[in-house]
Amino acid sequence: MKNKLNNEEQFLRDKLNQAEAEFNYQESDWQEIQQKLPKKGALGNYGTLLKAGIGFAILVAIAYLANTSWDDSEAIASGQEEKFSTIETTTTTSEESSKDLEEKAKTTASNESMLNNKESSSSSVSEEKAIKGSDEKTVEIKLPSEKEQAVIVDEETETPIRKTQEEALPSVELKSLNIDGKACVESIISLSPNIKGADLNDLSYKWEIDGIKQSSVEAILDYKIEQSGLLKFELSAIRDNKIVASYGMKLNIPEVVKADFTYQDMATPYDDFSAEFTAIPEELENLKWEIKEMDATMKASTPYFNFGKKGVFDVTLIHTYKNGCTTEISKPVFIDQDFKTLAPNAFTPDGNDLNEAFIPVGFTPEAGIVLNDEFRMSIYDYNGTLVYSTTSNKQPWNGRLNNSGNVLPEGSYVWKVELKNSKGQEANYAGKVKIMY
Amino acid sequence: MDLSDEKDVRELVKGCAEGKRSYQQLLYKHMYGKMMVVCYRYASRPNDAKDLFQEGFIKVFNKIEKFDFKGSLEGWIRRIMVNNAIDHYRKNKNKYAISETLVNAENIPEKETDEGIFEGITSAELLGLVQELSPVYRTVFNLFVLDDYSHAEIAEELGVSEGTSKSNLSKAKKNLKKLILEKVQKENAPLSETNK
Repeated sequence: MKNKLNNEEQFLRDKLNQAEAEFNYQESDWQEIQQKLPKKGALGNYGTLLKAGIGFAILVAIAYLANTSWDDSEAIASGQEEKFSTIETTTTTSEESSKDLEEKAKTTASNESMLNNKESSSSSVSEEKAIKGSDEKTVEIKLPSEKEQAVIVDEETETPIRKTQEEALPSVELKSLNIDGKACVESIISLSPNIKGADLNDLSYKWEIDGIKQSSVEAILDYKIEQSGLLKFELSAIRDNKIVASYGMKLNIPEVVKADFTYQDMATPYDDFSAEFTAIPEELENLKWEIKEMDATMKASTPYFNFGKKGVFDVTLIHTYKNGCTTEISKPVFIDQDFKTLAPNAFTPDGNDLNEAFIPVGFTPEAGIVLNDEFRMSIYDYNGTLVYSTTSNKQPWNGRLNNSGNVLPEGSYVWKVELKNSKGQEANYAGKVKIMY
Repeated sequence: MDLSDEKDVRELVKGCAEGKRSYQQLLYKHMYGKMMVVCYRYASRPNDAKDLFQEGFIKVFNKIEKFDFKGSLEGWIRRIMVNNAIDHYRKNKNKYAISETLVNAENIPEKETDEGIFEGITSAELLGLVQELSPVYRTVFNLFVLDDYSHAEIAEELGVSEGTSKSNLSKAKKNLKKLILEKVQKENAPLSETNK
């Protein structure tokens, strides 16, 4: 629905809408927001990479990965210094498995030569064999022909392992995964393997993170942690399409504890422009408040800060929770010392019960301000003669000389309020008030 | 890509919903100026405007798969930006509500000012002056004059009465006019002196 605007409003509207031209697209803004958008399709490029990079269309089935057993004790990475101390790991070196494989392959070969194996009845170059691994896991091996090498395997269906016949391989050992960065939600960690062995240059890698697979020629992976809970990483080193080592690890990502805050602009009669901050929820610990413009940091849960001037200030609350993870919230804080004297400019001490007496309401308990401070209100006539004075903010002036005797003549009077608090801060307010009948 | 062509819009929205960065960037770039103005109008200062803008656009991308192609995409995005600004206002409301009610607009005659006095002001300057308005006045002014909210809708969004919305609007305009006059006069002052 469109509002009916008058000329003036329409003018302002048009003029403001023209301001569009003032803003030129900033690439840096895009870069900034881009990082905050959910990453879709960042992982799962497995197929594409594989198709692009490798001539052999051979996949290693997960069955093989079953050699890697997870240690179920919760591994917790807590802070950078001690992050590895509690990570339980399992390592599969290639030594055993490749030897084993080699042996089985030889067996198969000899079986074939004796034509005892019914599966070898085919004279084709490529043959499918089932070889039993020492751990009873079935590993299928395919000897690919030139043509079949070009076949693209659907990685989603995790088709049987196809492996080329191999000669003995130099052994490779994946000892651990190094983590750079904090294991916190929203943070990016960089994982790099501690890998040993000969000829590491010809290795490629496959990551599996929480069930998502990614292949890479790089061993290092940058990963953005999206949610809390147990996060499983597994890295397999692959040489000539065969897993030669793998390593699994779990990280316990702590639940995010978000902090927020409110503040109260303290409207006191003193010119101190201060505010009291309260963190939400209130029981939070390890808080740090930063006010950049003021170059100030505070640590209390409900700090009080004197800005010394009016303005808008960015206040940041940093909350450190488990494992050194932090959340941060920044808000503009409006500091506008806004004390109002609420002094009437006239009163009518005529005995009709309306507007009979005068006091600047802002200093009274009715205004919600209870002053334990020194208070003095003085009233002067226009010759400068003191006509009333009190030290109680509950005793208004009734328009009479010293609040007794006759009502003073109509006309303007000057009021003055002097305040002093326990900290020694002083404030003076003054104004004019008229007596009318 | 032509955003007046529905086919292109559909493709753009689909790409954004799928999380394709290039499409998202295209939309972001296309709406940059328009939405930046919206955010500037609601913010107290440039940095807040940028935060509102970025935050609003994250919401846009998170919700874009729900866009139903019934109205214009720009209008839909604008609504999200405005709603985001209102949310911000609400969150901070309690902090300035008390002082607002005590502030009275300066005593400027209600009669319509000659638009001639506005001519000297540029869009950018006007935008800056809108930012100088107090949060309540600014929000009501924006919602009514620029973003087509009725007083009843404003009352509901901001949790005030319709009457308050109306009086806030008129005070907002008075204050804005005063700011404009000050600005224009300040700029003209040295000129008139040299003319003498």
